[in-house]
Amino acid sequence: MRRNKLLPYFLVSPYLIHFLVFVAFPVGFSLYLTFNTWNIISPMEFVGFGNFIRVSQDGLFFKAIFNTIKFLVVHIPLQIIVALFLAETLNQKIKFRPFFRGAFFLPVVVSGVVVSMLWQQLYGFDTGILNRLMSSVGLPKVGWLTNPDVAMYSIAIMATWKNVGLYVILFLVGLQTVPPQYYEAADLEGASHWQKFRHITLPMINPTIFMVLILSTIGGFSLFIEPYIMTGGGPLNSTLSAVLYIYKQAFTNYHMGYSATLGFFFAFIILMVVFIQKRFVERGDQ
Amino acid sequence: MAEISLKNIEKRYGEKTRVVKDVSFDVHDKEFLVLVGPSGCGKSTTLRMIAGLEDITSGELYIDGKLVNDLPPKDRDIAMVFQNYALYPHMTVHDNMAFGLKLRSTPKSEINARVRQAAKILGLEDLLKRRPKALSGGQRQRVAVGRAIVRKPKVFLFDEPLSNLDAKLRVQMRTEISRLHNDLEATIVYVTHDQTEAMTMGDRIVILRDGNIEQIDTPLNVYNHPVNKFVAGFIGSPAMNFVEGKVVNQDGTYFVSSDGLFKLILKPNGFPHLNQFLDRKIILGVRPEDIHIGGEESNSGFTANIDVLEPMGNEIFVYFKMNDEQIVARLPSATDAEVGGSLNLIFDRGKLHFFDPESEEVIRE
Ligand SMILES: Nc1ncnc2c1ncn2[C@@H]1O[C@H](COP(=O)(O)OP(=O)(O)OP(=O)(O)O)[C@@H](O)[C@H]1O
Ligand SMILES: [Mg+2]
Repeated sequence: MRRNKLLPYFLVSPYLIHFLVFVAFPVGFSLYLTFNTWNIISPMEFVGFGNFIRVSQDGLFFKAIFNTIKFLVVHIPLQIIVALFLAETLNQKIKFRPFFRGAFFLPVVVSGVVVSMLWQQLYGFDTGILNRLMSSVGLPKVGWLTNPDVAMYSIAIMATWKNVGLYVILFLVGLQTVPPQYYEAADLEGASHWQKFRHITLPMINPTIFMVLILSTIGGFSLFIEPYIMTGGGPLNSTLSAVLYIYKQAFTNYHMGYSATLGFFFAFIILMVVFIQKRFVERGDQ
Repeated sequence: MAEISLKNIEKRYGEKTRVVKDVSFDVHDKEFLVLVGPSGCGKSTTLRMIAGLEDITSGELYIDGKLVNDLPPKDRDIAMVFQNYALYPHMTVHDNMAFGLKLRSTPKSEINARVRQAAKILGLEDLLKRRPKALSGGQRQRVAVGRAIVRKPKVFLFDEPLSNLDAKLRVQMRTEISRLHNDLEATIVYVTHDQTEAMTMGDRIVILRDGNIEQIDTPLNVYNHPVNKFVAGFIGSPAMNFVEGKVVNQDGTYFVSSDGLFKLILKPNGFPHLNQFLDRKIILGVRPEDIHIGGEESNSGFTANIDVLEPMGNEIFVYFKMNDEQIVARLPSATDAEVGGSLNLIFDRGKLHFFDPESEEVIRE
């Protein structure tokens, strides 16, 4: 009997241990950290709401959030439009369809570090292939990663390239759920390609579009690897994303307590955005 | 004016799969033509080739004398009602019906007028603001028809439009579509696997089997003069009975069933065309309603041992066996019969059909 009572706990213990060690403890510990300062080496010091007051006065943090939003504003629409276009194309009867479907998905599974280093080469000012192409047709060189006004958008384009395959797959699934009779009926009614896309495809895959919107919002907010590898947040902090700033506070400046506070604050912002989107989606469903 | 003409139409998938083989027929102006046949015989494929939704492998398709093999669907001026209606779920009834007109940038006032008129004909006026999800099967079916008629196309194609409806609604919609055909004076090609629909709605029926045309004729001609055993068995409900037997000469010409238990005198009352089948196998076909009560042994009457009775109210179906095969007779409901009992029956000799067992073709007089 006793053994039978313990067995279920034993069976779920891998998950419980994982949860306790990697989720509950870090969250609890960071929450505790938000009320302290700690540089790992010296003992913690209780500061009450000091960290929170500091967040509200930290201009750089708000710049980082602004940078992240700048990234999202380019990244999300670009991602949705490109993914939808590719999915629609790959849903036609074209040659080598399986090959293309695989090819567009490849960057998703390749390590973000590798992709970032590759694009760093492409974006290089003097030796990058992009600028060499530009100069060969007589256009001026662009400081893809060195011009503060451009760098964040360059990263957004790269991130789109990397992630678009995932959303292509999601859209393909959505497109394939549209019954072919709808298109046949529209063919008989005299609809053009564009009219079919506009009046049938788009409304029919609305749920998929919203899903992609939310997924890419959450994904976009956690932008980190790309600026970390490619620019380190520069030039002039123009590519400093919120997560990168939090990371720097923790592991460059060793402000563990403050970094934890930023983390919570930022999580709260993401929560609010997703919450608003969710309300929006639910209204659209009716 | 709208005439359709199919000349040696063939549809192949790949090299081997021929789903429509050498099909030729004409649809006359304002005609209601029904394509009927068992599942998988190529009815939908034929219809979809007329619509332009399916490529024609070989042969020629003419609409009003114009070769349209390579014309895209939208330029054929055809409307189609699909089996599952294919109504756009995100549009209201009004928008569903208006969609085709909007695409053709018809003026708004004209669109509204036409939609309202169609809605009136089909009794949909109160439902125009609803989405398809909020409609019953019959209402959806009507919207699908409405979407077809607002555009005033040359030709209407229907692909089993009633098969998703319950029996009662099906009967009602059958008459409604027939009425619509008269009101609109439209040319209609209608696909069904239901022989009742074919019989009651069609001006003419095309019977298909395995991608081949078996017979084209008016419903009554198909019913009374089927060209082969397949058509004879397919049209009519309950289906025609078949009895295998032989033509023999013993003091007159007789048909004798294979088990020898049933004998029907053929001469001297005619059937000279059966002479060539003397002492050969032959198949006798008789419709359930052409079996009657009475008759003596001498006059080819016989005794049937009743296996099953199906009272229908206005009539009764009586099942018995010949050659160990089920035979059904359609008798007046007042018939005094019980399971296990017997009845004296006789075949109506004016209404017999004979088929060559090899070719299964009817033996012509
Ligand atoms: N894409 C395809 N490839 C190969 N064979 C096909 C294809 N589409 C249809 N067929 C075959 O063609 C034949 C005719 O199909 P069709 O849909 O015209 O039948 P139908 O007469 O409408 O039958 P039902 O009454 O069941 O609707 C079927 O045997 C089907 O399996
Ligand atoms: Mg069909």
